[in-house]
Amino acid sequence: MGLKEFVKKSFSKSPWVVHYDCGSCNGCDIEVLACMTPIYDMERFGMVNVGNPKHADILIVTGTVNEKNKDVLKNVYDMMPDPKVVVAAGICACSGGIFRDCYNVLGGIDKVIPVDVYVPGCPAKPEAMIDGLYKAAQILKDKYSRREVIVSAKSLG
Amino acid sequence: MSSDLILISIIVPIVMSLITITTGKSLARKTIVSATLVIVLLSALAVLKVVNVPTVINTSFYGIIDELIKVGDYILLLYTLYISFKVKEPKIAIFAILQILPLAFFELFMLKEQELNTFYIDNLSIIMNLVVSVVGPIIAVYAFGYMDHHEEEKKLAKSRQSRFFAIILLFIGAMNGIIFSNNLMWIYFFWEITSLSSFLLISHDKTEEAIKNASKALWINMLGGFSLLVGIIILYKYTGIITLDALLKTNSSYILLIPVFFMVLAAFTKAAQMPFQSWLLGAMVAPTPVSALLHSSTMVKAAIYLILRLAPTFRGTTLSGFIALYGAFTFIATSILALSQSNGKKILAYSTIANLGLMISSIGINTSSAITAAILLLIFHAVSKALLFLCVGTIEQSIGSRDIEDMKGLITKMPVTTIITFIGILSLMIAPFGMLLSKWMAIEAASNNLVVALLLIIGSAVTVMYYTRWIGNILSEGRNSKFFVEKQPLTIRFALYSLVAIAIVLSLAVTQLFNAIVKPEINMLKMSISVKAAAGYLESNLGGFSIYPVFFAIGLAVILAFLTIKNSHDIVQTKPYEAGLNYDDSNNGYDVKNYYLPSIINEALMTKYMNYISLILILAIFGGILL
Amino acid sequence: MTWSDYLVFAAAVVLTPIIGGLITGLDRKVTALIQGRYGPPVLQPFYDVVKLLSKEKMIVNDFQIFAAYIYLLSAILSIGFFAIKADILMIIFIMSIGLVFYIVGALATRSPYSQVGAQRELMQMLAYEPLLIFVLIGMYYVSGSFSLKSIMSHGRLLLDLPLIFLVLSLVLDIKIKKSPFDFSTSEHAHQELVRGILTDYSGPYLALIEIADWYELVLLLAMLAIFWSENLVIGALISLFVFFLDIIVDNISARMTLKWMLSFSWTIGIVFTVVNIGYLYFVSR
Repeated sequence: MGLKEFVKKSFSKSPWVVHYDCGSCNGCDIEVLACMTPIYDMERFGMVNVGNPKHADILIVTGTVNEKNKDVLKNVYDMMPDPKVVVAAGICACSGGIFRDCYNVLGGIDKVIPVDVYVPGCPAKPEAMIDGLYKAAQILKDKYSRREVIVSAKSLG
Repeated sequence: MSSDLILISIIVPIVMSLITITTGKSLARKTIVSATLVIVLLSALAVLKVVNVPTVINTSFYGIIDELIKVGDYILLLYTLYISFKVKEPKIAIFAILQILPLAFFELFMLKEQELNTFYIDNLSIIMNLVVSVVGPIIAVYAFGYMDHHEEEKKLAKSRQSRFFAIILLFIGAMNGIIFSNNLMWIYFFWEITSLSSFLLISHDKTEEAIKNASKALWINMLGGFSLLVGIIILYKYTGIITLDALLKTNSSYILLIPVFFMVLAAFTKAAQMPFQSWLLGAMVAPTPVSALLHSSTMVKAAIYLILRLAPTFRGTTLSGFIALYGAFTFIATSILALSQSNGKKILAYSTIANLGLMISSIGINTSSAITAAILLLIFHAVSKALLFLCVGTIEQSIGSRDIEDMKGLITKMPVTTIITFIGILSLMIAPFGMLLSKWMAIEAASNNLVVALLLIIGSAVTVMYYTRWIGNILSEGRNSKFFVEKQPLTIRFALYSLVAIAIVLSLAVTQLFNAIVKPEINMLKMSISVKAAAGYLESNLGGFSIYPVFFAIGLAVILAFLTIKNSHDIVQTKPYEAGLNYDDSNNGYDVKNYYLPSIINEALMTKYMNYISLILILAIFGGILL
Repeated sequence: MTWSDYLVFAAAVVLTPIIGGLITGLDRKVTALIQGRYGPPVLQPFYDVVKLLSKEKMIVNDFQIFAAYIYLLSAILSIGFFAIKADILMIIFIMSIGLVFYIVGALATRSPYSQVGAQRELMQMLAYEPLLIFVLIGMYYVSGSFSLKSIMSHGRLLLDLPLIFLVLSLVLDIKIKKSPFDFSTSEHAHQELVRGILTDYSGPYLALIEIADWYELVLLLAMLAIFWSENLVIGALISLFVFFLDIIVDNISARMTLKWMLSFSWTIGIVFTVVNIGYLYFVSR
């Protein structure tokens, strides 16, 4: 395959994940941790949990957003280099979950950053999360191809 | 003609120093000093071109100069007695008396009048002369601007710079005297002048601390002078030799080793080896040009010069092996002590002592490539260390502190000085610059002697550590950093740029340097040439170092990086990662203090034990004569 | 350097990242198999590096670009010189250029993680660099020269220098930052101060550093392989075996402290070197 194809393929084959816990009860976080264990093994897809947004492609977030951590979440998201994908794991990250009507909760994380994949569940199962991460890897590849198209379109026109 | 040149390089600075004391006006003083130093530089270049080495040169002035020096000896020693009373340091008086009595006895009863050759020159003298005559004027030019600012800071009513520059000129004349003299008594006289000028310059600021440190420097150097005198007297008593050319012509025999030991001990005190290192550390209170000129580039190199001169006499003896061990021990001990320091000038002082220990160790190994390494180390270290001291002086005058922790983020405040300091530190510890090349040669030459090699290796790893820590500090850039345009006075700019240019050019041209100056010296010392240098490749019989490919690769990387930064429209500038908490823009980044390892390296305790070990090693050197 | 030298240099420079990437991929696969899971495909490091090279360039401090380039170029130079059998002490000193710039690149960002990681890397360098040169002194003692040509003509260095071989294996372990020596930064998924010295590098510059790390890995494995230079295939197998042992040690041990590492490595380095060379000295008497 050509070089461009290989580059696009590597985006889907090597998605590096950074995990951020917004306001979660830690139930979904334990399941994220379980994804890395030998039973569920997300590393066979090339996914590695790097803890540093500067190295990561996929941001997997659990928990609800409140006043205090929305700035931190935005900072972590901004620090990731393009192209990047956000996965909301657990129903609290998707829409606020059972804490939706609390006085301190702003809602799901899509109130702060754009989300690409929603993985519902309370807690979300590891299989579901790996499925979501796998879909996120494909979206990553699409984002990279589209950016290339946009860049080359700009240089043409 | 050549005798005139040498007389000029010795006498003109001394005479002009007397004139400089009397000039009060700044412009007149600067003109006189600059003119003198230009004359010294020109005479050095002329000596390089004109004199065919090795040679002895005679002048008709020998008798007059000899008488003057004999009288000057007594005046000098009486003056030091007077100083001892003034600063109330009895040790100075003890060593002055210890020198006057044997000197009088020697000259009145033992010394026979003879007509001897005046000057002895070979390539080593030319190398030393060039170092003194090139680095000296550059530092003096720097000192013009530095001392003006210094005295402004201290709010002195009457400028004391005439005294300062007079002593600097006297010192440069004395250095040339040590380098060219043939008669050992003359070398002793000029040696004592350098000790005295060191005292006068360290105590220049006339604070209590400065005077105390200067007294310590003076008595330790007088101890060295006493040792030198003892060595000369013993040498004359048993062999009748009083000149260098005769010394180098005799067959090295057992009996020579005892006076050689005392002379080498004198060199150890002047080079501030352990356990005599406290004077050099205390001398850091002096103004920076003093530290650069005396205590890193020239005066301490006079000690190395003396040991290099004596090297043929102890080649192949056990004494030589113990000297190598002693030098290596100083190297590793002071490198470890430098790890614990955060004061910039103290780090440089310890590093100077360490590098001098490395040179002494190389001379002790006494093979052809080791002596080559020592000579190359001498040249490169003089240039780079002077550059670093001048940079630290500039930084200190700008930010008011010499502590390297206060130099964090310096690149935004003083970009030009920071880059020059960066290149200066790199030229001291990184391939392919000359210092590392010489260190490579020294380690390869030392590999036969396992203990010396182990000490040198660990020492050089520690060296990289304390310098890298410093570079990291000065290059760190804050978050909201703006780059200031730095205003540097012309004298400082001239000094720094010229030294950095010399450092880089010498490193690039190391093969030409070797072929032109160092190889003939090795030939002259009747050793086989085991180092070959051609087109960017330095080869010894143990291996070779390709210099040009490494320079090329570094240059390529620098160019690539520059190109990337130039086309930086797609580079996103971001903040350092601090766990997502960067929304507060007020602070300029978090700083972590460097490792100083105070729990492992306690300076006072370690110094005490290292001093004991070094004393044992010196006794071992003496014992090595008997083995 | 002759024309054939240039060709060998270029071939080494081009082939080494491929070999390094494959060995790193094997490392991850074997680690995964030891842990009872499938693990990533063996070509995974190539996917990682290509992806990193295509990401957006994001830096904190311009100096990081210098640091990444110089680290890579010095690693390339050292492997090239190793292939044309130059002086091995020179190769080690060239490697240390890159290391210094790598450390300064991380110290230059005012982030606490990078700075602490960089200082730990300095301590690690203090631990392994003397040991590396001790190994060279051992090789010099046996072959009489520092040039690789004469060292490799010896044939069976392993039989004369077994303890020195162990010291070199220790250097390999510290240099590729596997447990228990992963203080300054660690493999993927083992966090150490949030990736330690690598925290503020990202995108293409991280890829350059990763490739430089492959070069250094291959250089150290090659240094292990020349201990049996009579038959380089056996030498390569020996070095891969040592690497495999390192992977096992990585999986069974935890991260220790810096003081322990310094005392452990210096004690083993000095004692083994002195014993081995002393033994050779007395045997040759």
